[in-house]
Amino acid sequence: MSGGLRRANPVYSFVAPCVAGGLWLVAVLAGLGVGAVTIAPSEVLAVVARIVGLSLAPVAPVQETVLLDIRAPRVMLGIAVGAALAAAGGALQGLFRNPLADPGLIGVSTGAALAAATAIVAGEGLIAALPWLTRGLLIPLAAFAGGLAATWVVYRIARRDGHTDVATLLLAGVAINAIAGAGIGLLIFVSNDQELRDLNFWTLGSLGGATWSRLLPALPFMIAPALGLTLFARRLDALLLGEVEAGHLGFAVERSKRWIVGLAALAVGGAVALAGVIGFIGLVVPHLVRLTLGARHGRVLPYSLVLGSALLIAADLVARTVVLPAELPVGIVTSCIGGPFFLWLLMRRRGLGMG
Amino acid sequence: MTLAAHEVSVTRGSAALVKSVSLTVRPGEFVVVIGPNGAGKSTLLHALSGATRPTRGYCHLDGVALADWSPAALARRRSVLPQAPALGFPLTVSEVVALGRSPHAGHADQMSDWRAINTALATASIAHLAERSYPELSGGERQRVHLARVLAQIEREGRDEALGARYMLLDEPTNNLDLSHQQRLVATAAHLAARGDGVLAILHDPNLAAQYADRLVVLADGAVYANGVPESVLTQQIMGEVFDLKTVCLTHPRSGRPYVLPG
Repeated sequence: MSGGLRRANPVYSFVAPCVAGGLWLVAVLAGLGVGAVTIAPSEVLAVVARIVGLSLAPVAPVQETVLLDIRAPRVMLGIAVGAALAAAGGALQGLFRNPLADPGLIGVSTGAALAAATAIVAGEGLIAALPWLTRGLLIPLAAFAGGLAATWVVYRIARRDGHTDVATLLLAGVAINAIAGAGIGLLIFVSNDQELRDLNFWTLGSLGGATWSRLLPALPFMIAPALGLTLFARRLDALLLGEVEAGHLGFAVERSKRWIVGLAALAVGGAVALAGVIGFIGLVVPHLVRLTLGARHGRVLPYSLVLGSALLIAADLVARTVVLPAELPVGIVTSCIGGPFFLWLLMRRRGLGMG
Repeated sequence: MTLAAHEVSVTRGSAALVKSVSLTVRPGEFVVVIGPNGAGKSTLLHALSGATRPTRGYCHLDGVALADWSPAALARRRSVLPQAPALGFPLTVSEVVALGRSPHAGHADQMSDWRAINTALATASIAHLAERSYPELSGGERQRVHLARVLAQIEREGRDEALGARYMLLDEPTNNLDLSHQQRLVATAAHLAARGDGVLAILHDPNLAAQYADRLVVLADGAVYANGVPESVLTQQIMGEVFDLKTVCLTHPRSGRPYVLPG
């Protein structure tokens, strides 16, 4: 028989994992090593070895402090945020059956940012009233609620007869971005100096200011839902055929949809709570994975996790080294990459007559 | 041991789309539903698939109401080929066909899924397209990919092999297909029935229907107007009353099947 089903392809079983893992490692080592104080990969290894109880070559205390207190939490935040945004983007694109659904474009990120900003400005009273509620918990929770609300609104508006309309989807995103933008503007207007600085940080997106004490409580909010979304790979594959067809294939469609929307909103909410609005990671990364490895979510989601981390760390490296001694918000860098990429996608779709 | 609708009515808003229809698909039987646009054919098929819950009456498989089947167990017994499935993402043909095996997760090992997919690819004569990307295919090829997908879904492989007849529902599957592909698709459905499974298809072409069907059901204004062997249904009187069309009814010189000629 010519054709038919073939067995394991070495591209998928060997080459792709090595390339993705290699890119990730390079990005992480560069993120840890490059900056005002240079730290070589061997020194990174030595510090890691010392922490686990082995002693290799000695490392200067300055470098160890910079590595452990400044670079490591920042890279860790980049890993978590990049993975969360890329996984959420990949899953939302599958759910909406539309490759243009990015958490930033369709309003999920700004919805989360508006809620987080509200929590920053108005949250003190709430924290005073409820002693168990800390600031570190309130802002991620608010961002999650905002992201969930925005996702649900967009989903309800753009969906008609079981499928989503691309133009309506993007226009709903424009409207939500405008409304949330106005809300954030209003909050900036009424905020004091400290709040203003925090708010600026949300709207542009930044990995700066990452500390272990802020990072650790929020990490599960990003990592768990991003990993959780990979469990829905088969259901997302079936949803690509349409909701009714996924039902015919024996999937509980409504329940799956609620889980996917909830996990994506949680991942984006967690990312926005710590790093603000960072656009286009969720658009670019799953798209590149699909172009090279195909659309199966069993591949798209895990590779998006890994490569989303790598891309965000690399973008952050650019952001903090390109205008030394100052630092660009990383959201500007990702938009510089993602904006043209988005335009290219639109032109390509028009060229194929799919626009 | 049948797939059947029992006095099913479907109402949407104030419109009665299907009015107290009873219909049975038996194992080994190829039933074709014909009828004018808006007669409620697709609504009836959606009710029989379990996707639409009837307003009154119920549908059942092997005597158990569809609502009482678990979605996955039902999906292992019946598959549905939609009118014009849309898929814009670059899945390969074999990945799309493999989606048909989704309900068998935990009920079939990899080898039996494998055999089911390969059999379906061969039956739909698309084995040579297995590694092609779905969005690059022509309309006719795409429809055959989905045919292979729904064939793989009810292929007798895996632990549930002995579990009674399978059923396939096809909703105007020949839309956008050329003459030869229409013939091949309907012949494949008829072949499935010949090996002991139950098939129900909605078709627009009464001649294509009469050529392969064991039984024709005419649906008009949401109700069954006629139900019987093609010879008893393709008559000038019924064609005139249901489609408001003047016809001549003849017998095909080679197959002996009835066919109608408008005019």
